[in-house]
Amino acid sequence: MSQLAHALESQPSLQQQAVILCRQQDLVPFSGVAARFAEYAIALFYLPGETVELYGLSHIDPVTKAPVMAHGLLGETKGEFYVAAPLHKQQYRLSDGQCLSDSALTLQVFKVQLLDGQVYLLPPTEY
Amino acid sequence: MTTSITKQLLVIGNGMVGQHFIEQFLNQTETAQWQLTVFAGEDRPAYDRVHLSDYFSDGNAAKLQLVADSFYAENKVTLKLDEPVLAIDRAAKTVTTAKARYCYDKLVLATGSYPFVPPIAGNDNQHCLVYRTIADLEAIRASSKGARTGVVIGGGLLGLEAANALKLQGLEAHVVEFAPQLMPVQLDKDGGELLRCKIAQLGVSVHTDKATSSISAGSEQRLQLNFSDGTVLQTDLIVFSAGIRPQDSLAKDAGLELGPRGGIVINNQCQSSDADIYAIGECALWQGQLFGLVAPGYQMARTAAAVLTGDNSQSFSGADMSTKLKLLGVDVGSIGDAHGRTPGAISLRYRNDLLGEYRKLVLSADGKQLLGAVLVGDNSYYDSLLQYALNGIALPADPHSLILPQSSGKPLLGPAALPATATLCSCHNVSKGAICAALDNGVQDLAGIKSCTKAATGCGGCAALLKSVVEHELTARGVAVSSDLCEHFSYSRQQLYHLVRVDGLKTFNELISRHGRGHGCEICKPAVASILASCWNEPVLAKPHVALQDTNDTFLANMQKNGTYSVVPRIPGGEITPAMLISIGQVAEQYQLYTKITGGQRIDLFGATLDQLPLIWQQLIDAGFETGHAYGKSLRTVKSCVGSTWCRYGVQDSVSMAILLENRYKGVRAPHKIKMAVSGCTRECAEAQSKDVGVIATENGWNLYVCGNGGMKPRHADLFATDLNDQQLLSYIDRLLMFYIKTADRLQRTATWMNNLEGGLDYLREVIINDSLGLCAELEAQMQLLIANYQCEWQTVLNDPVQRARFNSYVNAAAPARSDFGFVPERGQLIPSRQLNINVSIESKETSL
Ligand code: SRM
Ligand SMILES: Cc1cc2nc3c(=O)[nH]c(=O)nc-3n(C[C@H](O)[C@H](O)[C@H](O)COP(=O)(O)OP(=O)(O)OC[C@H]3O[C@@H](n4cnc5c(N)ncnc54)[C@H](O)[C@@H]3O)c2cc1C
Ligand code: SF4
Ligand code: FES
Repeated sequence: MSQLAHALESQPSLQQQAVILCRQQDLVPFSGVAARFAEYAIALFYLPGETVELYGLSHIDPVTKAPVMAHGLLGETKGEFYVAAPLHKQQYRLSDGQCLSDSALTLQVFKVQLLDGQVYLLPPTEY
Repeated sequence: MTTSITKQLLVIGNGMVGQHFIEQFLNQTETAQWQLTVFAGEDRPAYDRVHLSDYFSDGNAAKLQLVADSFYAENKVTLKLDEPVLAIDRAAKTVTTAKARYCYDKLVLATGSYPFVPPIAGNDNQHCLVYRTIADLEAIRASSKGARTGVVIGGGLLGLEAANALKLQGLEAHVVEFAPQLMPVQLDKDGGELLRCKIAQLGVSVHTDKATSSISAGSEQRLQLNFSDGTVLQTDLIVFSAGIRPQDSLAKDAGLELGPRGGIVINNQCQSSDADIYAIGECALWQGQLFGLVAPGYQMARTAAAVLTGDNSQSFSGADMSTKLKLLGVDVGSIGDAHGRTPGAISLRYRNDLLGEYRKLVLSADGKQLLGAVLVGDNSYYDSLLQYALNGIALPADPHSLILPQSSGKPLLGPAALPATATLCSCHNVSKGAICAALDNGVQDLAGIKSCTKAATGCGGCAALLKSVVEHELTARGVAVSSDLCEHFSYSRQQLYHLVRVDGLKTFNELISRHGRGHGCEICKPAVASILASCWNEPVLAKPHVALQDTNDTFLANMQKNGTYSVVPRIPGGEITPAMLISIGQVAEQYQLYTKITGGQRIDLFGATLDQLPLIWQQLIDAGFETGHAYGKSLRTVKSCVGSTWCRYGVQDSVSMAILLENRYKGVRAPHKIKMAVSGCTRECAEAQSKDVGVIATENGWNLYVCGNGGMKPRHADLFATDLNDQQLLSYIDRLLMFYIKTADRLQRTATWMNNLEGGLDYLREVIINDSLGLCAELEAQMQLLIANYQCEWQTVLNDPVQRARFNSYVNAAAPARSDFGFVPERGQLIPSRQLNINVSIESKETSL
């Protein structure tokens, strides 16, 4: 169990602030789905069996401002995973949202976690 | 006198060399004071005479034109079309045409040659023709109407090309040669004899040692040739190809020095006996020699342009007359001293009557230098031999190894062995050193080399050599000339296709774990998805494949710039009932979709949200539509014209054929999209010649065109086969598509595929029509499997709740309103607002939740 998951389980206060976004079964393996939280649109990328299985990044394409990032293809280069923007194919690293071809572009990162068949969105400041 | 006074430079003749002169002249630095005027004897700007015969395979004269119409105006060159010069007045320094008189300071004669027509009684019949200009070809085509046989008089290089043209016109072709062998200039006796056998096998009758004494009216056919030996031959038309003569009459009348058998005498600066008058190309005679090829003409053009602008460093010093040709599909090559006329020359020969191959080397007396060569049947030896001969490279100790069959380990003269001074492209005078310099200056690939050095853009004879040199040099510079698909697979698409088939692999995971590494990327995933679909045609959204698909395939719709999608139902052949039209209209109205007729004869509905797609498709399918695969690398549309059903010119039912084709190939996944069209007659209203597969009706069936393309770099399709019946047409297209699917690169349209295909159109014909690889039955069976496994992907999705659930915009929230995507009205419909203002936050990273 990851540190984070452990923290979630052991600290009820954290669990209260975290929100359940969706069920694990709503995710599509090795691909993305989009979820909403308040005014945010979040792309959830699911890589079952990998060290980090779930990533949350902004669903909004920084270049076109269209809500499409969850529909990009996932790729891997030299062991790092990225998503290719569906409209113009820029690559964004899943771990930190950095665009690999243009240093000025980033995708906002959301902290997400799988636990007990649920997908949690964590508050940004607590860990 | 000031230098600002403009000087008049007149060029007589806008043929290949005249045109090259203009371009070379414009490239010089000191041209500002010159006003350039060009007189063309023909009614069209310069065209590629070398590829003149292509006109018969595609009927497209525009394609032969060397520069765009706008070239002349853009470069301030005055072009006088169809205004031949009638006389030159050297004293007054003027030239006269039927329209006016023009002054010159300097004059360039580039009047070329004219075909020699032997003085035989009856040679003025309207069906006695020549083979030199587009107008000549049009005349031959006209004369071929209603004709059965055609005779070419002259068995040289051009005569054989003309015979091929007659064959292409559907005529029974004969060649009549005065000498005892074919191509007496370029080939020796054995070579000529072999060529004759091969050509006879191809159905062209060859008559050597025949002198024609007169031409009279025929009893069965239009004409009768009467030979000096008393025999006769009847024919409907005659093409004279008995050699060319320099077009020197203007020069003669003006009193310029000519050779004893014609030709305008020039010095090394290409000046005639009047220093203000230059002569270049086929009309010029240098040291008693005429040059009937483009490359020497281009060298003269370069020299004259340099000398005229004060650069005296250039001079013409003769040229190599070696030639490599494919005549009626037979390889023929002739290098240097093919006849071994150099004193003391010795020869080595290889002759194989079984394979129909003949090769001869002519060596210097000491056996160390290659002086000449003759090749018949296999030109793959040509490039190396030419380099030995041209560059004086010392021969290996066993020179015979150069012409023995390749399996015996022929030491090929590889690109590495060539000296930097070696001329690779004689048309444009490009050396290996120049190629290396261009690469050092940052040119990255073959295409770049071609556009910056112009190498391989003349006669094209050097293309294969150029490619190997560029690849070799790139590799030497550490640039990987790799055909690897991406970092996950060290295979080309073609190899992966093969692996998938041979190992019977059904999923990406199986393939990457066996033959690749890592996790894949946006390059290999869709490529493999396409290969899997081309092999097994399982639904692309089936679970193992869904994460591989490009975005458009994932949702069976095309994503638009604002994140909404377009919907394109299939409208086979462009035919649609009013009721179907109305139902499209109803769907569009209900969902407020922007509606447009596409360039592919169907209707595109734009602006649907992800959540709306299944609803919209349910209604369309209920109304009888199926998916149009506008998103797939697969068949798009088969355009049609209205055809014989309605059109007064139509000779076949193009609509029915288009619908048949569209229904047959719909859903077949390929390396790239495929487009087709069917026209009901030669007027070609469906623009079939711009498609991957184009079909044009004839009186007798269908003509099939292949590998055309619109897009950024349009390519006219090549005529592949003529007068096919329905069944032949389908089986050729089946094989062709399957062969393309098997062998093309990722995202390579058929046009680029063809351009890169070793052996080109002829090779493709061999494979598809003559089954040279023994593949045809397999190709057809594989296509059958794909056709049999077709399903409408939208229907499949709608039937499967799991797949359908993918079409929710958000897994945890209601479908967004369409207004969230920002639409504004324009001309009565909704279009994306220019300023996207999407109703979800796009704030920066710092935001806290
Ligand atoms: C809708 C349409 C324009 C229209 O409003 O008329 C269109 C729209 C697009 N074309 Fe096209 N093309 C359309 C007809 C054409 C034609 C004309 C034709 O088919 O007769 C051509 C030239 C013919 C050809 O392909 O040889 C054409 C040559 C291209 C190309 C260049 C292909 C090439 O080989 O160079 C691309 C780019 C590509 O595929 O890589 C392209 C790509 C596209 C894309 C997919 C661009 C994109 O990635 O978003 C557009 C998406 C369509 C959509 O969202 O539905 N489109 N496109 C036409 C749809 C026809 C149909 O019914 O399916
Ligand atoms: C079918 C065919 C195939 C060939 N294949 C090859 C090949 O594979 N390789 C190769 O190297 N060469 C080949 N050639 C030869 C090549 O085309 C010529 O060497 C080349 O075109 C010569 O160019 P040019 O400008 O000297 O003459 P041309 O191209 O003949 O041009 C001369 C122009 O001058 C015009 N003209 C003549 N008199 C006047 C006047 N008084 N006023 C105005 N204009 C005038 C003519 O109308 C003509 O347009 C082939 C030729 C033919 C016909
Ligand atoms: S031409 Fe360009 S803009 Fe127009 S539809 Fe085709 S791809 Fe889009
Ligand atoms: S030799 Fe003619 S194009 Fe290069």
